[in-house]
Amino acid sequence: MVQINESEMIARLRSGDITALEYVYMEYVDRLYSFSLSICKSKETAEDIIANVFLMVYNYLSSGKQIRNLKSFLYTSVRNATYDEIKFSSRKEPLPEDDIYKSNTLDICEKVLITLLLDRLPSDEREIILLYCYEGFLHKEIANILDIPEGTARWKYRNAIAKLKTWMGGVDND
Amino acid sequence: MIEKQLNKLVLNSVKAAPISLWERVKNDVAKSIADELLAKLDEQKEPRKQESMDRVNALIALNVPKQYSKGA
Repeated sequence: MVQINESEMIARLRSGDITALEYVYMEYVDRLYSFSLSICKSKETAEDIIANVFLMVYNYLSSGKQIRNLKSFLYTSVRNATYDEIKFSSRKEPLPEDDIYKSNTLDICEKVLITLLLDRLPSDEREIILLYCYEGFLHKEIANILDIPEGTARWKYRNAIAKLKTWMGGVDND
Repeated sequence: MIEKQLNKLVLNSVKAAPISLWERVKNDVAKSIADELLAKLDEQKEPRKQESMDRVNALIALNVPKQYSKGA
């Protein structure tokens, strides 16, 4: 995962630089999209949310406002927007089996399996696992994004990992 | 399965956003910039419009009594 210089990107976005937006977009879009999709289960909704969030971030920064942690801001915005959308809409389309996975390092069976297992987790535990695995957020950061105590975030993470391990039928080696 | 492997599995299960989505974001941003510029232009035009209206009103005010006096 390539790390972008967030403060530089924020400074460029504040001056209205659209190439900086493209850079940030390319860096985060797939994981943000997957994160939203894991909550709403609708490609159309996830696309709408991603488009609106990036537009909002551009307008927010180019109007001179400040964001301290862009990555957290993006995930918080996507999460809130996804839950808002779910509240106002009940549309849910089943995900097609030929969904395009970003990485080629796993075979399709493993990808489908992990997606199905993640879907079996309660939504709060799934979100924690995705935030931890996608971006390497610390438990404290995850707690801030989900607006829950850090201890709860840590506990839910352990709980989710234990469930996944059991479902995968693996031996706990760590 | 150890936790690190599990985390890697989850990371590798990321789905790709449609390529066309960036075009949509770019178009939305361009539209937003255009709307903002148009709004600014309108704001700049507003005093001029008012100025023009004032001149027209002043001319009418000057001319109307003459017309009436001619007819009288």
